[in-house]
Amino acid sequence: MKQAIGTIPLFGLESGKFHDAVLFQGVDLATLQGIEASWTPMFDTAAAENRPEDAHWEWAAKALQALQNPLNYEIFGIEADGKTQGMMLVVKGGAKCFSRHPEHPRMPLVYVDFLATAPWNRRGLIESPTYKGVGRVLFMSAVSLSIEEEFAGRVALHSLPGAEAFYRDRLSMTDLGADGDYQNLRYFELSTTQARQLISAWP
Amino acid sequence: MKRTMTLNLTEAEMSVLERLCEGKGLSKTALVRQALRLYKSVDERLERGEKVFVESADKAEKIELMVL
Amino acid sequence: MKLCVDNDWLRRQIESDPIGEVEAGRGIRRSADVLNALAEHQEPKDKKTVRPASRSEAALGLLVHMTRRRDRLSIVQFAERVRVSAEEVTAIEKDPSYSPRPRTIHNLAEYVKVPAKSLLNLLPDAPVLDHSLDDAVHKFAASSDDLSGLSRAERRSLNDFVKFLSIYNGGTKADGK
Repeated sequence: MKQAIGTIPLFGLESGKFHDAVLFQGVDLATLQGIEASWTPMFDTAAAENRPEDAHWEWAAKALQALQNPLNYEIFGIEADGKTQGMMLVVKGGAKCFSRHPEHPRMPLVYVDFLATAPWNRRGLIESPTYKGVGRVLFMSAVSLSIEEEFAGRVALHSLPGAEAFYRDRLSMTDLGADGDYQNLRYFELSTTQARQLISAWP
Repeated sequence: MKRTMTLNLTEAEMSVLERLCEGKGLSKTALVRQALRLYKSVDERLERGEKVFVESADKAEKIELMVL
Repeated sequence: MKLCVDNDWLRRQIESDPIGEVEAGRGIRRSADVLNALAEHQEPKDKKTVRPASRSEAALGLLVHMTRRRDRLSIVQFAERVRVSAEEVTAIEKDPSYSPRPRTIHNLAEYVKVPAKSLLNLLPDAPVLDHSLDDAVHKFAASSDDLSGLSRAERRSLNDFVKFLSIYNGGTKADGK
């Protein structure tokens, strides 16, 4: 259910050098419990008093069991220092997986349902984040899945306002404008050509 | 693990499949896989009691997709 | 799956990436957010067995709405008393799938004078432990009618429901009710 894909580098902002982290496909109960224990209290200090109880985890375990071998999605996570540093859920079929890009309208693509990093890696939340690179590695996992699914690396997502520059400038995605059907978040696509250029990029 | 099957299609069905594969840049396997995911996601919505509509380009006509 | 780029590529790109936000799509703050996202893309036959039974009557929203009417408070006034934002009160009343923040639950519980634990059991993602709560919710929902001010019957129903919540052993299976 949870499977290691490989060791990947994350840049430690305090040490100023790269650290080894592991990229996983799939999710297990321990991952979810880790998120509750380490992510949630940083978002909401009151959360510590309201930790889910055993019954919640019994339900979560059952839910996860039924979620094995999904048809439409894949979930990825990155772990370092025994903690989840980021997670991404991608959808690979259904209504959201058709391109809106003028280069290839209606071609199939991988849609990122969410890409989230641990709160201690977020510039918007704390002054000195721990790791840099979580978003980059997760995004490249989506591109890799897209290639494996024969979608030529095409990826789409709705960026949160603070991340628009990252997707537009660093990942060279096309900004297709604010999406009224999705809280007015801007919709971005990595086209076939952009995917090819991104992978061969050598800064 | 992946399993293999033989698919029997009429001439007309096969030519549609081939045209779609070419248009979408997918192999037959990948195209059938995508079709299955789409079919499933629409079917799921209908089963949940949601409605699926198809609207004409000029928005003059809106047809509800009833059953698959 | 194999990554389409190697670690050398990743290192070079990450090095020149700015330190900034990278978030996309729905917000993930707790484990339930992940499970809800997964459940949305999962086959319906499983949904019935694994998804926590939905509180179809949106019990928490109804409780807030009725309490507000009992006390003749507008959304803004109520929000002030409970020390949460008016937007959140609106979301609780209008959106059955809305999960309020723990602090909100805490403040609401304090106002209604029931244990916070019981209110947690009214959330859309709460696990279903027994049916006594569902029965109480059904009864409560059936009795309410959206008129301004509470009728005597509605007031009694609200009182009964609050009383039930205050003794409901929320979150544990111990009493097997």
